[in-house]
Amino acid sequence: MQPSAKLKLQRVDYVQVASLKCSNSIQLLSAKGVKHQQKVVVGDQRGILQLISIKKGEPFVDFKVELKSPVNCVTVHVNSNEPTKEMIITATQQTVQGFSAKGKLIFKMDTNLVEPIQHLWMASKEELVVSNSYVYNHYQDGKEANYFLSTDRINAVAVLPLNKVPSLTPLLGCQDGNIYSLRDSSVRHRLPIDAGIPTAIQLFQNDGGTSGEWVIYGTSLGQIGLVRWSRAGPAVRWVIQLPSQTTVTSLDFYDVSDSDDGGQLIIGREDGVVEVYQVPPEDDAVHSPTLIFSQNCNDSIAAVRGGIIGADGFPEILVATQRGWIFGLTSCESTTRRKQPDEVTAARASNAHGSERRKQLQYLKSEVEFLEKQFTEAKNNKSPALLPASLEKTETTSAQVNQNAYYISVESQVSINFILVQCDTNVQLMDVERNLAILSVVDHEKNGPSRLTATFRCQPTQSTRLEMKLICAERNTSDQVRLYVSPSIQEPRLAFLKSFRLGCLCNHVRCHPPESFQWSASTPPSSLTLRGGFSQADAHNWIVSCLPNVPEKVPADEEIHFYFRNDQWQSKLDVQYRRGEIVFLSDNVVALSLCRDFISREATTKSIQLAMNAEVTWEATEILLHHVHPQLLDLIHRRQRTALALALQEAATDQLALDATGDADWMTAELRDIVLAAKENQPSNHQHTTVEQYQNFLLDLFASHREFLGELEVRSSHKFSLLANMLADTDVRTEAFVEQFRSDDLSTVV
Amino acid sequence: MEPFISAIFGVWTQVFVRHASLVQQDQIQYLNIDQNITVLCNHPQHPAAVVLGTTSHLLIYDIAENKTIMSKEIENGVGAVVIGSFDDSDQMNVIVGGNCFLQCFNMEGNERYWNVMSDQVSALALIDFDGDGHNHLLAGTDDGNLRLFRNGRMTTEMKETDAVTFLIALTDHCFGYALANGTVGVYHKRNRLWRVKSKNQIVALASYDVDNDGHPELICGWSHGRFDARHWQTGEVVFKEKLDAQHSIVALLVEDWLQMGHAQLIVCSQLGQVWSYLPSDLELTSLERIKDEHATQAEEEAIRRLIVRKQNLLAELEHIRHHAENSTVAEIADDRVQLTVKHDQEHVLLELEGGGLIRAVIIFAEGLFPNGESHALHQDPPTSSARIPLPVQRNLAVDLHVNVLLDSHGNNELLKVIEVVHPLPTFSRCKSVPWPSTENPSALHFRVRIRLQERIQRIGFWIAQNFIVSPELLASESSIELAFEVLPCRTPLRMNFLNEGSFLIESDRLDPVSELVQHLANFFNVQHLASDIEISDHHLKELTELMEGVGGHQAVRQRLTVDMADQVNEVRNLFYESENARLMNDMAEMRRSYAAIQSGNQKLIDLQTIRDSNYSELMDRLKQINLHVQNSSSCRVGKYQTDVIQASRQAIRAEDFEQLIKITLYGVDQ
Repeated sequence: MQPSAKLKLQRVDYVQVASLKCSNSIQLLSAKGVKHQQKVVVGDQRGILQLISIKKGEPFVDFKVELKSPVNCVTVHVNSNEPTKEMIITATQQTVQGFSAKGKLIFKMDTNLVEPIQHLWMASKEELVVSNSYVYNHYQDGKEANYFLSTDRINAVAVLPLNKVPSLTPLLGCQDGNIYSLRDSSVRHRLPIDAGIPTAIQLFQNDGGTSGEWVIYGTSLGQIGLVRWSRAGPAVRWVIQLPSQTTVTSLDFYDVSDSDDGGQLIIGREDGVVEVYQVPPEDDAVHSPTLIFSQNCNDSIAAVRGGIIGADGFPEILVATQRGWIFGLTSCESTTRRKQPDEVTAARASNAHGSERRKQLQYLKSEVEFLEKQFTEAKNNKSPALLPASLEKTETTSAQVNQNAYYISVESQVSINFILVQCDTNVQLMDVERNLAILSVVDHEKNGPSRLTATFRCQPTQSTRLEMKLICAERNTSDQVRLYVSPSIQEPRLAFLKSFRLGCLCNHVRCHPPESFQWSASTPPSSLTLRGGFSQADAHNWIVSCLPNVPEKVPADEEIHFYFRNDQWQSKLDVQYRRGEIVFLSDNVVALSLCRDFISREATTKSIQLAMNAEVTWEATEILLHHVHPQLLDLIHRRQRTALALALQEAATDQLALDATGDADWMTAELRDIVLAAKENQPSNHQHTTVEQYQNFLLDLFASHREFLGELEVRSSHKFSLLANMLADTDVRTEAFVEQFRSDDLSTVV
Repeated sequence: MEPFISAIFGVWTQVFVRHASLVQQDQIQYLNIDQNITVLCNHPQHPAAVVLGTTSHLLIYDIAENKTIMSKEIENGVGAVVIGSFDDSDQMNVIVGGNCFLQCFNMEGNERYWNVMSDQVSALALIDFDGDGHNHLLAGTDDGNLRLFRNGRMTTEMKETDAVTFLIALTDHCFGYALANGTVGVYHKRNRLWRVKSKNQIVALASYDVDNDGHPELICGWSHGRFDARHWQTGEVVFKEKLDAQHSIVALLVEDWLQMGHAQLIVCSQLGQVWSYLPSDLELTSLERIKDEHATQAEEEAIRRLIVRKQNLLAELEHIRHHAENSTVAEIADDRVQLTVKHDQEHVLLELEGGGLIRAVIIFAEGLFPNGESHALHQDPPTSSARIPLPVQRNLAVDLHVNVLLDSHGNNELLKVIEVVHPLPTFSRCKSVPWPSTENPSALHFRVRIRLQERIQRIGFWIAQNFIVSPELLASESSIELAFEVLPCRTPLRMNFLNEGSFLIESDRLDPVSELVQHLANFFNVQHLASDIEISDHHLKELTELMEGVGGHQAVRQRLTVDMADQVNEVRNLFYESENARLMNDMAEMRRSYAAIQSGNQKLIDLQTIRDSNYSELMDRLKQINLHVQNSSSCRVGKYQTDVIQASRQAIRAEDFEQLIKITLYGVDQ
């Protein structure tokens, strides 16, 4: 496969609807002929289902149905017997409805689900798969055939094509980072994803490839992978990591560049970027996907679809944003006619186009004026305290941990006036380059109990989206981060409170058993067992407050098991609990100590008596030490080299004038290496961990270790200060440090 | 004159010149200067000359002839430089600004004019701001003052919120300015037309007619690798371009570098890359196309905005209709709450009446907060009153935008916001305190006496408008006695007005007094005002010591320079010795020489450290002296002020410090 030329696409705005939730909010009907315009069907959160076609760049509504409650899912079903008769299927609340292309209700089915349907997949006329946040249901001929309850939230649903894979194989992408395939009502296979949580699943080339077993997935950390899901189980073909680690919200395949070698992969991301990748055919193991197009659309993308929408013959990407904008990225160059060779006609065309636009502008202006008048009249008649509709479903905030930093994005339907960020614990707030807002952080020493108080002023820039990063150390409290978002609306002036939890072990991430999780026999982990008269729900609540990405709902199992890892220290944590007992296993005694502190405090407030039993193994701690201490040395060393490189670079610039070749040959090879290395990895700001954090962690490790062994007042001991001094000294070798750490002789003086 | 220039780039202690003339295509020429270059500009009449400012010298240098046109020692260091003719003379002058001073030379290197400033001068420009056909001098300082000078006299002072970093003359009596906090804006004469603030830093300003409409746009280069052109009247962006997000722009120049017959806009980036742009109508670059696309984009943007508005309105209407049908209205609690805002100089006090609790308070104000432009307070649990520490550091009339978030009943996710704009008067950092009961007039260092023929009521009016004082203190018919503490150091300040126009201000520092006098004179439109300054003996001694120390420092500095030169020679000799030894294969001797070189080197480093600290101390003293002249001269107005400055300059040059103190305190005898 040749690396394709870069795509050139232009944005054309079509229409705005109410906010859109998921990647199945828009669909395209198939066209009457090849390369003819397709119609767009949209279901929004206000409950309006409409079919829109674009005529001369203007949206035209073919039909509009009010479904009263939010449309969470829209699919188009093509009956293989009558390909011209397409059925639009929608999911609102617990109801599935089918409409004809004219907007006529064809069928209606009430499911017995309790929560609203979130995902819908029509595999054939008879087979219908629906799921809400936790429950999967399979209906055959309108009768419930299979049922599955997931412990974690279901984020994405896909079904392998029935015409190629005869037995119904649904795939569920779940919040615990796995993709499950079901057979009837139980899990058949499981694919653990190593980077993030699966958030989108799509059949390869929209039909599963030749065998129908090829599936592509996207994750919350921007990973895309191709999987062959055969009867024997899933096998990953390739994985790509998108340059920015943000959530993939929608995937689609379409031949946008007219290249005839299969459809290209279209990716929509939460941070507003639409990307197109040229992907090799599924049987090509040599090549990997290449990026051919990328554009930032500034709003979170809800869905992307490839098709022909705006003009006959021009492939286009239809993009729907979560705020409800629907626009195309088209290959049609109507707005760049000036590039054509015939200058005169080109100029005229451009003028004609310009005047047309001006006419449209004029028309819109008068229309808006009319509506404004109507609006103020209507408003005067009503209670002035009525909330504006545009505010009702506005902000979406998402937080996820990555590289020990919490990435938070705030998005609003109307432009944001200011945001206040507040937290009662020591949190470092980092601005993101793309923000236009001006950040000011208040010096917390003068500000009472609040450790972080910061404001983003967004006023003149009209921004509707804001991102930030929070860096927080693990500690023995569970805190709330509060975001007060005030939109720039004059009357009434409001602020929304959005909060999320930073648990005590906030830098742990949930991971998969048992692939990445085996304790070796030679280094048994330390353990902490808590027993007492608490219920399973109590235990679950404590775990939810401690650790991230644990489902809020108490799982149905009698014994619950979760696995976590901390990428910063490369430690693992294993939690098992049931009624009356919680067992933590970890090689990181600091984590155990923090959990113990937190849970015992929580238990005391509920006056539950806890019996604690801790078994600390030296082997596990030793391995952790051998891992962390060299990293600390490396970090200090690197810091020194950077400082040296700066000085050397300056010297090298001075030398430039004297040496005609520009080569600073007075430097030794080592020094030159330092300068070169510094030039290469200049933007190494991604490393959030500082020397101080390492030092504190190692001291915490010592304190926790000794405390679990029954020693008291460790932090005020002579040994503790001795170790602290050793940490500041870069000449101390790891072995010496570990030896000192271990030795019981308190009188040792170095 | 041969078309010659060439781009000039300054790097640390080097200047290199890249020629673009036909003869010397792409040739790069280097100049080495033995001091750190602080500013660089070209000569408008002499295309081969470079004007250089270093930490101690001003140098005009002819590159073509390879000779120095002018060299002048500026012991205060050069902070900004501008060259051109101004006021009513047609002569070329170089104006240098630095550590609290302004200095002007003619082309022979003779001093024409000298003035003091309130802080380091960071930007200079020549512009005809009053429309009399002559350029005048405009200076910006690190403490955020913009001053307009006319014929050697300061005519207007404008306060900005942060250090002024760039000034550039635009068309039609306008000039553009940039501040260190990312603000860029345009003044027309004395009125600000617009300003915008960004979180990025401005690293260069230029004036260039991008769209060829006859008026230059304000071109702004940013630290995040972008540059944009803004319309001089409205601030609207007419053109923008991004070069490289990783690397900042370092300079914007307007020059016909490529000899195309029309000046180009030249953009230099941190990586050493140079781009040049031409205006759109010349059709030589891509600018036209970009501009056209930009117009298209702007219209499409307008359409998009209108569609959004239309959709929103439709949604609102539908929403209202919907609520009219079903009566379940999601109302927010509409308490008739009453919020009072008070500022007692150190705190903002908020008091809420009529129920409701304050969850958080956010105050936005520019130039008040040390880190950023807002202060926020979060209260958990919420209370009905709040007290936000807000010490005012500068004399600046600003508006506090106080946003209060109120807990609304029954809905934890939704809070009510009240915004109150609370204006702070100019002298809000003066905190009113009771008049000291014990009569002890000599307690304060400075006593400034002026005569001002104004009725006491008018004085009272001025105080009420510009200070935070209770009205009872101004009630007296015959005299006003006020005592203040000036934040942040709580410097005591007392004012005493008697009805017949005698006016006495006492303080431990002179700068608050001088600001008061200037403001007062401006308020009552007084053209000339003389004053007497009395000084406590203790402070007089301090002042004398300060001034006499300068001579000592200068002597030390010269001695150190000689010492260092000796040391360098010594090291050089040792190096030759070591080389000889190496060639002779005399390893023992070589080792000895290397050891000696190392110790010599160490000595050099030590000497340099001493020199550095000596230098910074000297700089500090010079700054103190300049500040003293500035403050004491500013206690007078008009010709008295100018006279004091001129006389002080004479005294400083003659190093007659006794005279200097006398002049600054008692003025110039007529």
